[in-house]
Formats: sequence, C-alpha cells, structure tokens
Amino acid sequence: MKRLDVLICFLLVLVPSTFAQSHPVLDAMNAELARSLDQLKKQGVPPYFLSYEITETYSVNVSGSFGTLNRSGENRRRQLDIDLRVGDYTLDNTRPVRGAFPNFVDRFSMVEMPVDDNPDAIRAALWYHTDQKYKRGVEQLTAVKMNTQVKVEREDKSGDFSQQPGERYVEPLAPTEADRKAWEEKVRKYTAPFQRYGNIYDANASLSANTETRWYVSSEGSAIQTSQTYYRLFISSFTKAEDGMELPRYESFFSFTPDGLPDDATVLKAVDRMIADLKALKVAPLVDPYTGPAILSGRATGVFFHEVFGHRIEGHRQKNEEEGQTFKKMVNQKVLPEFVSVYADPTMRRWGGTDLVGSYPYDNQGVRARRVPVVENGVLKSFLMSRTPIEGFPASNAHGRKQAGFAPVARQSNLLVIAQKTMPRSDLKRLLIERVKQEGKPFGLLFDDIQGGLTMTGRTIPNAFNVLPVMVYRIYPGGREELVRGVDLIGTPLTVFSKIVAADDEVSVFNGVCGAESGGVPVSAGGPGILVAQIEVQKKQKSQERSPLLAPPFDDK
Amino acid sequence: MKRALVLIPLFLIAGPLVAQQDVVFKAMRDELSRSMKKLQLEHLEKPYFVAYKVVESDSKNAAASFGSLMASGQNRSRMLGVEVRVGDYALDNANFFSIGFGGTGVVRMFGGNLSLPLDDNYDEIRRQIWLATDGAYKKALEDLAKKRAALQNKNRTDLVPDFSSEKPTETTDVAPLVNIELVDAEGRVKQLSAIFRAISGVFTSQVRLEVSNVFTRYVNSDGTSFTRKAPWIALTATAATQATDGMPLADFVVAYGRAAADLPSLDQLTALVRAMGIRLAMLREAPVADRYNGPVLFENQAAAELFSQVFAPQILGTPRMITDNPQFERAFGSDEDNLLDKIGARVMPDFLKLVDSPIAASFQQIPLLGGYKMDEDGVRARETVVVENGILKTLLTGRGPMRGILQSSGNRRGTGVMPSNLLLISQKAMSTDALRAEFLRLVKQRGKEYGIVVRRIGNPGVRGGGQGMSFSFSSAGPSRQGSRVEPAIAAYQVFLDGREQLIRNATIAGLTVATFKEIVAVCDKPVVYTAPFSVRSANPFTFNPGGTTPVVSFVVPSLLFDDVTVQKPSGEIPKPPFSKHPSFEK
Repeated sequence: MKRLDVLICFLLVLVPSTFAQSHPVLDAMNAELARSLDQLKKQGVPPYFLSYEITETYSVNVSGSFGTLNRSGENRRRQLDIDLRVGDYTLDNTRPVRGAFPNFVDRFSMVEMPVDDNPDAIRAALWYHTDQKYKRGVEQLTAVKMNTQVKVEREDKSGDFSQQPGERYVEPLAPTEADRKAWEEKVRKYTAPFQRYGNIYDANASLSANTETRWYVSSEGSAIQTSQTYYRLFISSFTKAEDGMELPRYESFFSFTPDGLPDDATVLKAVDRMIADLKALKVAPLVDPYTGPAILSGRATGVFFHEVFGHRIEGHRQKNEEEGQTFKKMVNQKVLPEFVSVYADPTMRRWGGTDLVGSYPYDNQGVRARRVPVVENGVLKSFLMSRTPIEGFPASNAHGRKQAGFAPVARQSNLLVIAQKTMPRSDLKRLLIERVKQEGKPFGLLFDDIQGGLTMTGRTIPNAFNVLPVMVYRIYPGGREELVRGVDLIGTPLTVFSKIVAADDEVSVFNGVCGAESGGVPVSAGGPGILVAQIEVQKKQKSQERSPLLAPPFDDK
Repeated sequence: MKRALVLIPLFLIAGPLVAQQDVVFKAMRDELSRSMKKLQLEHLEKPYFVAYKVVESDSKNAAASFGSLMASGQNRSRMLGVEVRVGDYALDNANFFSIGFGGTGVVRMFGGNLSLPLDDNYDEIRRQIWLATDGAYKKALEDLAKKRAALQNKNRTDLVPDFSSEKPTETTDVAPLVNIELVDAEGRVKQLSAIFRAISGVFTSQVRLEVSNVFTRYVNSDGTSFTRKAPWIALTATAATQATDGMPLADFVVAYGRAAADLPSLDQLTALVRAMGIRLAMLREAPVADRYNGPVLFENQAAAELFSQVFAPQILGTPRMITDNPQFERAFGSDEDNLLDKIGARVMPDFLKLVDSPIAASFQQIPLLGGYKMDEDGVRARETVVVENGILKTLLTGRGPMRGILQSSGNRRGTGVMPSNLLLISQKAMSTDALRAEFLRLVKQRGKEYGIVVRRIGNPGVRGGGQGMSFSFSSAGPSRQGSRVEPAIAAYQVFLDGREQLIRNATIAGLTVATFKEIVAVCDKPVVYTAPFSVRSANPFTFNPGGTTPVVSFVVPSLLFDDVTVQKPSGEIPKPPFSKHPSFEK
C-alpha cells in the first residue's frame, strides 16, 4: 500500500512535464503558428517573434443578498492574445512612442475564440487575427523608428525584448467542483442574518469557482498548458453614519480547493462579527488628520508594501521616463531596516494560513516562475521583470503578467514581507505606547482590517500612496483601544520606509486583484504586523447622501 | 340558487387572488402607495407620479463560428426601474440632464435600474424598492430645482406640458413561453455556422441564436398597471470578407419569432445562410461602379431598410432635453431631427399613406413582430395614421408632449419612442413588371446607359462577421445634414436590354427624408421585413433593463426614385490578408 502511495505521488509530479498528452488546442496553435511564420517570412518585414496565448475561463458564480438569491450562473469563454514583433530584440514595434497618445489599440484587444476544441475553427481565427496584428506591427515599427530619431536619446539604452529558451510544460486540466444548488442555499444562509437590519444597506455574499486554463505557444518553441481553479467567498456589507459616511465591512476567503473554503459555522461567525462591527462603526468617533506612530496588522502590511513598494519595483517603470523611478538607482543600497526582507514568489502556494492567489507556474510570456529576492536584509536586490529588459537586468524573472486581452507588463505575484526579528503583538503595542508617551501624542493608531489601496507612480502627479482601512483603533497611553472611523493612511514611499521600527510574529495575507495597465491580475501580499514610527492619515472621501427618509418597510407599521 | 351564490363570490375573488399571489406585484403596489402617501423631505414637494417596472428576463443564447461553439449560456435577471416625478404635469423634473457625481441615494443604481432578488421574497423586494425610490425622489427634487433654474434665464418657445395625462389602464398581454433547450440551440448554431466551412471566399462568420422570455410587471400612481409575458427568438447570421482589392464586404441573415415555430425550418435557414455566403463570396469578384446620378429602384429588403434608416427615425417625437450645461445643449438639439414642423405639409407623393400599427398581427399571413397591447408606459396600443395622401398628420410619441401633440400615441418602447409595425400603403401601385418597365423608361429618358437597382442594404444593428471589437452607441438620431444609409450589399446595373451586372461597395449618397417626396412609383407587392431598429432615446445615457433588441416590422413596397446618387467608397482601403485562410489553402 505504501508503495502505491509513493508511486502515485511520483506520477503526479512527473505527469505535468513529461508524460501528458498534448492538447488539441495546443496542437492547432502550433500548426497555425508555424504556417503564419512561414507565410509572413515572404513579406518584406518578417516577424522575429510570434506567440499565441488562449485563456479559457470557466466560472461558476452564485450571489445572494439579505437571505435571497440574486444571481446564479456559469460561463465559459476563451480569449486570444497575440504577441507579434517585427524588428529585432533590440528595437521592435512594441516600444512606446514618446510624445504619442497612449497606444490603447495595441495594448488591448478583445478576441473571442471558439470554446470547442475544433482545430479548423481555432486556426481560422488565429489566421485572421495574426494578419491584422501583423499589419499593425509593421505600421507601428515605422513610427517607433522615426521616434527614436527625432527624440532625445533614451536614458535607459536596453533593448525591447529579452531572449528566452522555449519551454514545454503541460499541466492536467483542473476540475471545477461547484454544486450550484448547494451554493445558492449557502449564499442565502450567509446573508440572512443581515435581514433584521434596516440600516444595513447592502449585504451581499458571492461564491465563485473560476477555472483558468492557459495555452501558450511561441516561435521560440514553447508549448505550455497551465490550469488552476480558484474558489472564493466574498461577503460585503455597508451601513452609513449620521454624517453620510459609508462604512463598509468585508470578509473574503480564498482557496485552491473547494474544501479549503470555511464551513458554514465559521462563515456565520464571521457574519455576526461583521454585523457587530457595523453597529460599532456607525457610532464610532471621527479621527482628524494626524501624524504619529501606528501599528499595521499583517494584512495592512501586505497592502502597504504592495502599494508603496511593489508597484515601484515593477521593471518597465524603471525605463519609462514619465515614471517616478523611486528605486531605480538604489539597487544594492539599503532601502528598508536590516531586519526586513521582501520576496516576490509565485511558486509559493500557501502562507499565513491561506492559499496564495498570486501563484502560478509560468507567467504570461512563457517564463517559468521562480522566487525573486527583492530586498534582502534591507538591501534592494532586484526588480520584478517581464521580458522588457532594463539596464542591469537583461532577463525576465517571470513577472510578465496580464489579464486576458491586455499586453503584459511587469506585475506583482505574491509579495512576502519577512521580518528576521519579531516580537509578540502585545510587545509591539507596548512599544507603540512608549513612543506615544515620548512624543507627547494623545494616542497611537492601529490599522487592523483594510479593503485595499492605491498609488500613483508617475512624475506628473505627486508620487504618493493611499491605504484604505476599514477597522482603525486609537490606542491611548493607558492602553485603552477605541474603534474610530473616517481616515485613510497616506504618505510618500521613501519617507515612510525609513520609519519602520519593529515587527510582530502574526503573519497574515491579503488576497486581492490588482489593477494596472495590463488589466486586473490576482495578487497576494502579506507580512507581519509592523510598527511605523510616524504615519499620516487624511480624511476619507465621504458620501453626501443622507440616509433614507422613510423607515424600512418592515418597520413602518 | 344557493349554489350560484357560492359560485359568484368565488368567481369575483379569483381575479384579485391572482394578483395577490404575485408577491412581486404586491411589494410594488404596497411600496407605491406608501411612497405616494408618506415620501416627503421636510417641507419640499411630494412626488406627484411614481411608477415601478420589474423586468424579469430568462434568456439563453448560443453562438458559433465555422462549426465551433463560440459562447453559450443562460441568464436569469430581475431588474427594477423606478420613475419618480415631482412638480406637476406642466413642469416636472423629467427630461432634464445634468452631469453629477455621487449618488442617487444609498443604493448604487445603473441608469435608474436596480437588480432585485430572484426569490419571491416580499420583504426583501420591498426593501430594494424602498431604497431605489428614496434615491430617485431625492434626485428628482434636485433635478427639478436645477431645471427651474436653467429655465429662469430662457424663454420657452413651446409652452407644452412636461408629461401627458393618460387614462388609467389595466392590461394583460401574455403569450405562451418559448423554450428551446440550450443543447439544441448550440446544435443549431453549430450546424448553421458550419455552412461557411465550404465557402472559401468568406473570411469571418458567426451564427447566433437568442431565446428569451421577458416578464414585465408595471404599476404607476395613475392607477395603470400591466403584465407582459413576451417570448422572443432571434437568429442572426453574419459574414464578412474583403474584395480582391481589399474593400470590406459584409452581409447577414436575421429571423425572428415569438414561438419556435415562427422561425424558418432548419432546411430553410440552411438555404438562406448558404445563399448569403455564396452571394458574399461572389461579390468579392464583382466590379465597382463609378458615380451614378439617375433613377434608382429600391426593391424588397432594400426598400424597407431605406425606409427604416431614412424616413422612420424622423416621425418619432421626442421632446427636446433641457440641460444646465451649455456643452450638452447641442447634443440634445432634437427639434430639428424630426418632422414636427412638417405636420400638415406634404412629405410623400399623394398616393402614399403611412400607418403605425402595434395591433396588426400579420400582413398577408406573414407575422408582424413589432406589435403589443400596451406600450412601456401602459398606454393602450392603437393605430396611428402618420401620413395620409402624402400629408404628414402627426408624429409617434410617448408621454412627453410636443407642440400640437399632447397625448401619447402609445409608442414608448425600450428606452425611448419607437415605431411598432410600419405599413406604407399605396393607393396607386404597379405590378413588379410595370415598375421595372417604368424604371427603364426613366433611365432611357435620361439618356443613361444603365440604371441602378438596389436589392439589399446593411442594417446598422447587425454588423460584422463576429470577429474583433464592436461597440454600438445610441445617438440622438441621424445628423441634420441628411442620413447616412448603410452601404448597399446587393446593387445591380440594369442595362436597357434588361441585362444585369452585380456591383459591389455601392454607397447611396445624399438621400434624405425630403427625397421621399420625389418617389415616382411603387409596386403592389410590398415586402414584409422585420429588423433591429436603432431606438431614438432623448437621453443617450438611458439603459434598457433585461430587454431584448427592439425590432420593427415594415411593410414597404419597392420604391422608384427619379434621381439618386450612387457612388463608390472614398478613402483608404485595407489590404487583403497576406496569407490564405488555413482551411482553403490549396
């Protein structure tokens, strides 16, 4: 018996790379890729690189609100992305034309593909769109060449595309395990406790299973098939304060397996906590703009690093001369305290008690995923690289990512903040209180739960970030904690990085979707709770809508 | 006697019982009466009119290309639309546009619509109606104040009310549900789209089937209510290619019905789609003709499309939108976009009559599919004579009055005012042969070598071969300079000896609504043609919840014009593909 177990394990490991049958979609793509290259070779300006990526998403979605069903459905679609390059690795049609209106035509397309595995239909669509793409490519190359002549020399003289060995990898197709009838009951059950409250204006639960299968072939000889199912439960609700401020509260759960989602009892407990928090938030006092020491919980640390740091180490931003390029010249310099290291690791599947949504075996440019040490012991080591080279970093490290339909750029995967020197949360709070007393501040802040964040990395606007907290507490010198509302955490990157003082041992992770120029991609960010010597908060954007005039119908008797 | 006494009360309550069992209707009615009674912000005005519409849609769709499934799915949705008016019939908040940020109350609505629970849960449906009404009422108050302010600095040239007063009606319009299994729909589109695997000249193609049952409940504070259960099937096949010189070419087949049996049989559809594909492939080799000025005969589908694109949009009466932003004023300048000023004037030759008839179910046994018992405001459908003896009598309207037209004609459809079934009737028609002879006589009289017959014109609502991006935008109707007619798909040079030469990429230029006065003659065998109609909406930001693409059925005879310009397209032409279609590479 034992041997059998071992054998099965072994097989599971081996199947992906060596033994699996090639998929008919992959075969059709390969055949048309070869034919296209052959045909276009006869043209005056032949392509030097061509890749096809077909992304299939099969999604099952069920959502409910206030104990009733709102939506239940499933959907399958396939989308095509073509990367066709004319010119050569040093200069090609994809180089941004400086001074031109942003090129949306070549950065975004929406090409639906047949969802059957019919090779003729797939090849017909590939043929038509390759031809269109080729014509655009030749036109664009002319514009790029002229642009390099009439504009000043670029600061970063690296080429436009990095070479990459062909990869062959075939993963088995992932199953989608979703019982819609059972899920419909679940979303009703999860949102029923909100029914009693006329002043909770939205209470929505959605359960989804999303199977994403990608087929990638390239003129470098790559043939890759990856397949992964994402299971999510997301519960959102909001109420309003007397002054009109919307007060949201979210719970989200993510797993690679259906069994990894929490059971009903756990969810219902979370729902009770949401309701209690909403009630408390409704009467919580407002905080005025403030600077002083603060603790960020692990999830807040994750989002904070994602916004402040993650977006600024995306490789292509170091090359675009409209970007702020905060860290461009800081490689091998200290950017963080010595006890902090940061990794971008798409190969990590689980951390901080949850599966990591930002994991993948290959990026969207056929590059095999690997762990990238971004900061080691406080020293900046690397950027996140797509196949767009930058000075000093000629190769990709598998962070060329995108949503289907967009052209890939360097994006984050799983951003892991690791502290070598930690302490219990209670000690971190003690440290905070000491600082509050030393500085004569009335209180310190604790950012516990957060909903997300945003940042601007350009030069034309202030280079700042904004983390949007949901649950914020004032910690008084005496140790009392008080829930407050109405503030966002803001700042500028370099200043705030120099103020990180200590970390705790409670690692937690934020699984989310990050939106940028290559669309929405799933990312994770996590770390320990951290103490920042000085942060700044600004007033939250506030709704001007007053609460409903009439009482809820069921209370209006 | 006793038995009869028992029976009568039972019979009497049977009606109300049906309505009571419908919890959605009950929630709508109860919240409506509460809103009318109690909804008031401090000392401000109460609503004088409230209407709720719940549109429940259960739809399936399947699309295929080259014999392979592109997409398929089913969808159920229940959307609430809320209309709240403050002020009075003479001047209220409606028909006013102001760009604003932030919300309409605490719930997020899209174009005045809100998604409702699919479950028949009375309390929860009422909760959503309550929140949506609250938002709509607050917005109405603000809009009315802004509208009054915007009007303070203007003298209104047309002193007509903002809203027409209509007789309350209670109507039921229920047709049997249409049901096609999704696998059958998938099978059918796969089979039909596979036809193109044997037609080498077509580059892209798609066949799409949509089956839906839309259940609408409507109630308003006038006392009007209706229930509509509308089944709908739509089949659309599109194909596109490029001529040998690169000029784009496209064609389509559409078929609609309210029951599965209304659609042509699979064999008939196969023949229609194949004929379209072969026609398109042949068109690639056809010559392009030089500019032509002279007699043009629009036959069958081409006559109906021409009428739909050029004349029909002009008989729709939508009041001019008022806005507080001068930048938008031009966009809403709709007065000049219809024939309001031509009422009483001649717009067609005196032998023509135009009737909009939502109550006509068929014409010579062919079903007309644009009809209904009541329009989207609950106004009872009736026949409207739009043109009589060539003289324009009135326009088609909704509840937005216009100068001289104070009542709704019952033409509120989708998001705006739309025709239902348009019948162009002639008191002086010729046989098809006589019309052709007349046409050739005119050609000869003009000293022309040939005349042009147009047999097919594209439809703006059916485009492309199913590939690439396509966006459709609703606009305030055709531009003032004259309507753009979609390119002719099938046009022929007809020589004096009767010989016909197919030409491609023919564009009809400068044909406007005024040209219809110059119709020389029409035939006595009108075509019955049902096609999508681009609805004219006063506010381009409105949204039609869960509704299907509105169609209009036309009954239009072939039309002979004395002088029309037909030319070839100008500008750059895309190159043909660099390589052959992989399935036809030999």
